[in-house]
Amino acid sequence: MKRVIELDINGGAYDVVISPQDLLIDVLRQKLDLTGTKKGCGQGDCGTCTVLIDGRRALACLTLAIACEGRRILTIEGMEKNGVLHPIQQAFIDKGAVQCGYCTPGMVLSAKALLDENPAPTEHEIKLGISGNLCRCTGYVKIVDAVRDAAGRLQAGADSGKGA
Amino acid sequence: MSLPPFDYLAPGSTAELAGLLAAHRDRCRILAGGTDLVNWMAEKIYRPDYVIDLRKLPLAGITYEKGRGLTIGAAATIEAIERSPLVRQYYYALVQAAGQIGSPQIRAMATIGGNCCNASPCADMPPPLVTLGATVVLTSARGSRELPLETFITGNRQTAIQPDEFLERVHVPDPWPNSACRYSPFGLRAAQEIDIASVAVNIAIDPATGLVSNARIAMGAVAPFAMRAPGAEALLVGKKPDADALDGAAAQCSRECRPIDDLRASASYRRHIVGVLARRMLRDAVAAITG
Repeated sequence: MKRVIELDINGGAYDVVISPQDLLIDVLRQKLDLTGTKKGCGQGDCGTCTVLIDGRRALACLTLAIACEGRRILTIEGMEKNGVLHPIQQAFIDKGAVQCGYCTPGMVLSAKALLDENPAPTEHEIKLGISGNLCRCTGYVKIVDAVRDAAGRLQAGADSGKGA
Repeated sequence: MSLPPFDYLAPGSTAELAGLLAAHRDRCRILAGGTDLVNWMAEKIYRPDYVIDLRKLPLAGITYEKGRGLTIGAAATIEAIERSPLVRQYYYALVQAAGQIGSPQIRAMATIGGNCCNASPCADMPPPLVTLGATVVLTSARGSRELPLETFITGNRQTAIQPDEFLERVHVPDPWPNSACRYSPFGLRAAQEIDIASVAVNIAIDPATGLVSNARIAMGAVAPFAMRAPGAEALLVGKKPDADALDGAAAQCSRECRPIDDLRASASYRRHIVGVLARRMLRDAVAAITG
């Protein structure tokens, strides 16, 4: 039976008509035209559909949209602010961490979850942090570089913020 | 991929949940993290009329009280267990197991209740829980009952749960005095891997005599469920935990397990790996106790 639910996505409230069996990935992409989140394996293995729900990593391909009522969803579209890319996104560009780009939205969200919890991760911690995101192009080296670089940018931003 | 249609229910109390289960029984499935259930519904293994979500229920707590032990709510995530300072301090093998499951995303979603109720032979939580003497509390409108995890899981993806029951919490007794528990899985890669074999050990040493006073060993992915190694345990109890005793017990684990050949590994390779893991975990646990 179809019903209307309200979803909090990237700080905005969306009323959306769904069936109970609709998956978050399909609601994001097909009903709300938020196609930044990619659908890969569809069974929780590849991580490209990673979003943050209430700040925690979640796989949109294994999440019922109806179970997200009252929770805060962050997708790749919510990373930039006022037309300025998030430092993690900018680091991915500057370090050449994007090739085909299909894994990138999920990588960026996993990196955000990691850096929110651990602002200065070691290389090993970065690898663990993105271990649920598969990339078939880069060999991961530049992605790890980008996350390390992003950590530095965010810390510098936080330090300058304190001084201001 | 789309799911077959169902109605979605999110009860606000465990009494309401018990009522729904009593009413719908085999026509419903409980949703916790969804990492197994959603896949199984997509594959049409389950076509429930009702999906009952636990998300509004207070079932995610992790508490420890000396003398009473550890209580983990069924909906506690694997990530929460991995990060719990209480679990790390008293039940380190559970942290080792939780940290090995799936990926960071899977660990943030999946729950201990799901890992126990779905009862995969290669599930990571049951082996250490079995060595720690864990019990599960099953609740229904008829009341609650508590049974050892070791008897709760009865076979490959089979448990003693009744259609009107839900797993409410997992209870782990206080650690034995002067004991340590350790767990290691073995797979072909570090993340997003299904274990070829795993071994959990829990061992206590009498500080007065230096002899092993208690030992439990459980092996995963080498039998239909997390399987105890009673012969190996018997070889340890009352003995000095030196290299010979530990190696002898590890070799006995290899003999006692009941692995199968499948696409991930041959039975003989699994048997070998069980021995290697058992030796490592026994040595790690003994070193943790004796410093």
